[in-house]
Amino acid sequence: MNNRSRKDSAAIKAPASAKPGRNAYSYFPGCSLTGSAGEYDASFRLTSEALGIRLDEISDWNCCGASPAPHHWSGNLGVLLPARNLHIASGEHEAMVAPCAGCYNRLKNAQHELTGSQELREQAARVLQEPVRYEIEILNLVELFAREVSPEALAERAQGRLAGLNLATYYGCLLTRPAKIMNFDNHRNPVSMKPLLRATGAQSDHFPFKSECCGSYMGLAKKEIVLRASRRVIEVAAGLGFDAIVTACPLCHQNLDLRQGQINKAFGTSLDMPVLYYSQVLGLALGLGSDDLGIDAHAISARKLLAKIGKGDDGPAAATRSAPAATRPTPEATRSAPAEQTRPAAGKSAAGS
Amino acid sequence: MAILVSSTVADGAAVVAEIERRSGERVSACYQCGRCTSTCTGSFVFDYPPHRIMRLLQLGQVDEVLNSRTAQLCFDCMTCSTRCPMNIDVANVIEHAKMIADERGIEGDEKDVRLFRLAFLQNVRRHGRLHEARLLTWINLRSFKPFNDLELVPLILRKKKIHIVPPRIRNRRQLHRIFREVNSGDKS
Amino acid sequence: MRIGVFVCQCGTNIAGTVATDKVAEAALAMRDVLHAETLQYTCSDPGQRAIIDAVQKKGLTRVVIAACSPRMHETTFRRTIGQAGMNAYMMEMVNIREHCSWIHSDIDTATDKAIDLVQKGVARVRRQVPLYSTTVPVTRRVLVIGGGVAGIQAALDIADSGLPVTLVERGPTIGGNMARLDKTFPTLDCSSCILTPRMVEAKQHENISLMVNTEIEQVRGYIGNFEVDVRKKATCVIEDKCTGCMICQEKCPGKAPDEFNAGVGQSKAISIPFPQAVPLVAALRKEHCRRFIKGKCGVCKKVCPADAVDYEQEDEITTEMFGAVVVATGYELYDWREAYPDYGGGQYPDVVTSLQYERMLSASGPTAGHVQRPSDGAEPKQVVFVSCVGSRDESVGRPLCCSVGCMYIAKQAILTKEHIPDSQSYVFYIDIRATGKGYEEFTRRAQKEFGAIYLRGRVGKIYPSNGQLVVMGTDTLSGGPVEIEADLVVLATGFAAARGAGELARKLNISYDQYEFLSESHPKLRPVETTTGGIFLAGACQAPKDIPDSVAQAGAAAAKVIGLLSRGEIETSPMVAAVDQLRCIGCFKCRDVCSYNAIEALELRDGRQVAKVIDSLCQGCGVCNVACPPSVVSLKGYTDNQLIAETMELLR
Repeated sequence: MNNRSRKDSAAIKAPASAKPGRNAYSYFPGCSLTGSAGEYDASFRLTSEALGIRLDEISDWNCCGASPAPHHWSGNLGVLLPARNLHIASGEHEAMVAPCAGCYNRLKNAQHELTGSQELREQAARVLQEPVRYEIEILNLVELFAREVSPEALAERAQGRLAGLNLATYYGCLLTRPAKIMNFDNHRNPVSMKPLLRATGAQSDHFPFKSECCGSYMGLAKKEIVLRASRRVIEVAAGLGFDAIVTACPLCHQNLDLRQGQINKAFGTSLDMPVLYYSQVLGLALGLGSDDLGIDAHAISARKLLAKIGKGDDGPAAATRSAPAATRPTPEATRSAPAEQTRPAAGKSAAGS
Repeated sequence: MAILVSSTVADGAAVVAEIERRSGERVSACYQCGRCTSTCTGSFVFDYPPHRIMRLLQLGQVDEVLNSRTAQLCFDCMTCSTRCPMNIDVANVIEHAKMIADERGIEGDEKDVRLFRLAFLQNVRRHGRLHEARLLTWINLRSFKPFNDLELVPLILRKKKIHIVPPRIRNRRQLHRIFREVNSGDKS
Repeated sequence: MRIGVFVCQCGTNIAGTVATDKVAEAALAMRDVLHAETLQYTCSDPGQRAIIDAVQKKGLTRVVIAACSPRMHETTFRRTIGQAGMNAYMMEMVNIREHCSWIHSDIDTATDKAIDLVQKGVARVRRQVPLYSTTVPVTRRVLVIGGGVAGIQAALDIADSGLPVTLVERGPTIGGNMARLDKTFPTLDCSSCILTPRMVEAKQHENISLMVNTEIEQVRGYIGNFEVDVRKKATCVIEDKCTGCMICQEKCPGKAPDEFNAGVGQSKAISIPFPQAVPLVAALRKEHCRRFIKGKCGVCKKVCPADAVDYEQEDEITTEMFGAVVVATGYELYDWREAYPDYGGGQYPDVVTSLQYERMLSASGPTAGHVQRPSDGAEPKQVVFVSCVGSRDESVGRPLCCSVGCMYIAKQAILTKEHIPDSQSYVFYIDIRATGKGYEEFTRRAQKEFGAIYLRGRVGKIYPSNGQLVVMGTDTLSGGPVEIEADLVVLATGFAAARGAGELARKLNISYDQYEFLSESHPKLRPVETTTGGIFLAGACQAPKDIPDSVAQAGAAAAKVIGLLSRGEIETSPMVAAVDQLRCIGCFKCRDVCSYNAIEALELRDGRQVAKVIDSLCQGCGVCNVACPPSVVSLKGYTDNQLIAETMELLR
């Protein structure tokens, strides 16, 4: 994985005085995406760029508090840490996106609690030394892409690039639960990834373990939980013949991908299931290079999968061969016409420009 | 040995009422169908699976709940809550039992979980963001398992997934204020 | 005017809190009151005799009885004064029990209040006029809607009494869901064997006119005189000519879903649902027929030896009059697929419903009684039954209990062992509800004699693995999660109201609940009557129930119908609205607001249109009274003058 995309993001960051457009969002990467899940960040930025979505990283954000302070473990830490981020973001844009499901969950929970408690709001005000702003709209990755590109528009640009693949959608726990607070998709039967995945030309059959837990943060505290839980998820996917598991959470990814070797060792299995990020899959569909998207940073190799869709050798060369040159996003195109590229019909005009 | 239910229900009533008040759930709504347990991710390491926790609370056996491995280990995946036919947020009930156990200083035997939590808190307090390299090293040393996850290290380094230089946020004053607010309230 | 006041003590029920002698004393002091006494139990024989005595000896012309609620004994006391020679309606019953002694504790206050109430009653009865109920002739014909076991039973019982019955069934055959069962619990009788004789009897009975493929179009009228439009749907088969040879079905090239077999296997566009169908007549479903979809085909007409196929056949609507209606529209299985994605949502072929399994078990079913996995046709050895799918589950909006699930699972577990001796059945249950005669013993047999393993807990997830289905459940009895690698999973899905039940209820003007089960008039004491007079319920359309209960209810409904129509006429309540036709301005606002369609227009001799109340339809709600601008509609027994007098009395 190259770190190029992080520098690129600096190039497309809007100057502080610019008025946020319709497709500009505050971006909360979180500790994972700026750490061991760097490829999630890279692929997210690249794919967003290709779709004309402007991301402005929240200035001086802090850890959201998801892991150290789940719910009320550490007093109100689980509200105050995210509150600071909500406050900063509220001053910058009307909507923010948190690709990490853990961060998304914690931010939304904190927003819910701040709404319901004057005491908490006062506490937050003492920290920030001004009344806390917290009503910003919080989106996750799946929501963001669903909002910004229609399946029809994506299908036109994707031109069936991922045909031949059967992808298991994996939502994990935190995107949809607790249902009343997350208020996203159907917590018993999430389907929000399907429309865009199908638009890429890939198949996405019903995956019975799509919202079972991967073991969460117990990897460092009690590893056997992760190994057992993740094993079942992967085995069921493998048993049903899926080519890859698609996830939108860096912790799920780490448990399923990084620890797959440990699972094999612990149980004597020989699992070999690639785990891709949702942003990486959409990026591939748009013709972006698999290395640029950080797929080579995964523990489990996706070589077989890439070969299936004719991307055996990756990199920009492959992208130009398999897709019209014009669909490869250039920084100029995105900066000058971000609004056009996301309107469904405009998919064609972007290709032409 | 028979449980003296007439005694346990009375003795445990206060704690059960507190859990119900904080979580907004009624333990009496549960008819013990066991669906929560059927797909509970962590049940294999719990001493009491979720439906039994609900049963213990129904009978007022709060000490068993507060001292349980379940209370220490449950990581809130909320699969139980999603499956409950009576719409009970079971995970929330367990969370609040956990909190009360914390408040009472009940520590239990799951040292690694406590260590993980402490390590994370310390790490975030210091940097404002998580410094993964530091976290892993700290935990491994403190738990006397220096070779834990060692096989992942070459992979992590090769794929450039770890940063040796710690992240830092600029507004450290606000960060300190956050921790001060939290510590003035309770004992974490 | 000679008024008599009787104050009941009701033992200590009233006398305990109200000083009844003081009330009687105060009553005697009221204007026009000549007689006042207290009685210990007015409703008893001595009590009633005391009233009759007083009326006759003192020549009383009006009576006030201060006692319990009119809902208890108003009818009783009307009869009493009727026996005494008075008009039964020259009486007012004042409630000093539920409205006074039962809700107060201070004797002085309660007594004062009781006196006020009696004063009010006296003021009202002063303005009472004699009322006379009328009779309305009834049509001595009965309509039964629905040809399942309840409808058939009701039709037979009513027909046996000599009343002609029209039995209407929306499908091509009668028999309902019972005809689809293989065996019935707890006797393991063959369902068709016990039902088909009834079905044939219903067809052949001289007093039963059977109309299949027929639906109710519209209902007008009132108790004793319902006017019903029925629509006989076109099936492209001439019923009288068809011999039931089934050659058309054999030769038909067009496949269609097999509804009778609950979707197991396929049927044809023209078909007879099952070999013992009554009537044994084919029916064509146009939505699956090539001729009607593509315009090409005509095979069935060509091969039919009886020349019974007519593609030009059209729907026929006829209108008939009936005195009473019995609704027996039954149930269908709850569609579980959307609410239970964890069980595959219908995508796993080896997860079937109990009815689909029943068809597989049936020797006349699509697999000739061989139990096979739908996926590969192999015989299953490990069979799992899951209770309460769509029942006792608030999270999917279905908290009710289906009341037959525990029983039919036990039955199916037993039958599975009989069909496949080396199979093992597992039953996931939460509670066993086996309340009928012999039911508990039956469920025990499933475990003791037929080896079914009962696990107490719900199933959280079912997923496919290596050609089998992994069932993740719980056994609370052993304390933790359990898993089973199953070959076949049978879901005990709950009961839902038959499709369109709510719409039919609206046509009949009867109530229904959130599940579209039709509402009985009183949950304890009137299980087969509805809130609309003359319309009765029988069977599972009212609530999930088993066959014995359905049959019993059908008999009860039949008895009510026979009673209703036995005298050829019915008495109507005289406390109905009345229009002062001389002052009516003909605006018909009363007709607009009447929920019972009880007001019609009448042309007077001078050509003026005025409103007229249809006594037998009017329910005495009084809304017309309120709506009438010049206030010319009044409610007999509740006239404006009476109500004003009451109010004035209280204000004094």
